[in-house]
Amino acid sequence: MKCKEIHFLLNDYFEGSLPDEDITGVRQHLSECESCRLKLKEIELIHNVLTQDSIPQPEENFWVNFLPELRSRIEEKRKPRKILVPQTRLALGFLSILLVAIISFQLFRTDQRKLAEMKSNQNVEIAVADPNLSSSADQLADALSAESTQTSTGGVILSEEEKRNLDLTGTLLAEDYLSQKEIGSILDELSSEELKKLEENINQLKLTNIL
Amino acid sequence: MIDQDDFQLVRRFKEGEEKAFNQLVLRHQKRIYNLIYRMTRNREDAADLSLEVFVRAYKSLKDFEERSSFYVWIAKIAVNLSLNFLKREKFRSFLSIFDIEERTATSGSAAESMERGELKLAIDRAIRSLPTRQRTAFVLKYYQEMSHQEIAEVMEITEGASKANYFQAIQKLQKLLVQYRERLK
Ligand SMILES: [Zn+2]
Repeated sequence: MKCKEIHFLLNDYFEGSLPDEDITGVRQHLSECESCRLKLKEIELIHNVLTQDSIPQPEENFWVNFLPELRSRIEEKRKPRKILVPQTRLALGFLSILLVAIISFQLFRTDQRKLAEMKSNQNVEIAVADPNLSSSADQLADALSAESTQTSTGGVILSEEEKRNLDLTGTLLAEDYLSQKEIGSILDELSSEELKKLEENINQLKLTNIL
Repeated sequence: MIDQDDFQLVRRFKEGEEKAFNQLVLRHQKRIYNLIYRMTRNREDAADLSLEVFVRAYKSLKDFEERSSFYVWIAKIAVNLSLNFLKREKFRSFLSIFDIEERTATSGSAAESMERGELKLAIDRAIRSLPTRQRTAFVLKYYQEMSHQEIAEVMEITEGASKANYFQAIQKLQKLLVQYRERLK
């Protein structure tokens, strides 16, 4: 066997999970090859290091309270969740769409190659996309028209092509990162102060320039 | 390994015996906590997410079909929750570019980091730097001692892919940590 093949087997050999028929071959090779013997030493070293990685135990009462706490969470989940007032919901939706666009741009800039791949597989990828995202361009249009009648949040004008790009990169986001729905739920967790600050900061950016 | 006692408990729960669920929780809570800690590397998050795993398990236990062991089934919930949590953490740090106050979930208490020591930090850094698939396969194999067949089920990949991910993780950790070891000498 070649060194490369041996390297692939050495960890199993060390862990004792190598099938018998491979063990003889590995032993034979090790007796003849200095560099693979060194490699085995390295593996031993790494296992020594990794076994020293202990797990910090949770707070003292955690396990005592585990079942009662669990039961109360289960009960809580059964209650209907609080419903957001429509206006807050709209603002959240709009924010999350903006964020999707901005993240998409970040991805686009840092990961051009991947996006190019995505584009070539566009049809396939969109078919498996999160259904919540397939209409993100429509949602964006909705949010934009709602936004223009509400507060002024900076000049955000998107062409049809930009909307399509947004949809595409939104798909990318759903595959590798977070869906718009998830982003929405994270924004949900922010306090209203944090949310306001975030909104202000985003509004200072010119989305048209970014896209 | 299929545990018949777990199946018995699941059946009893499905027949309406609430207490059977408590038994399932007590049997697996610590191993689930350990798994999530290995994934998130944070004590408080691991504690919180462990509870969440069992909340989800409670809600979907009626769909459990005994095609895998109960532990593999619940570990899958734990892995998915952990991965989702990690994605969210990443997003939160992304939000910080907009000057939002960032939750310092991953830093832990000062006392804790004193205790941790340098080696622990090095391992922390090394494991955090693994891509999520490698990290998951590594944690499940190395610390949870699952078979590649079980890992394949948890991660919804092939056994071969599980082996490859684990191998790559070990290779990468070796590179990262052997360097660290040599610097100590
Ligand atoms: Zn060799």
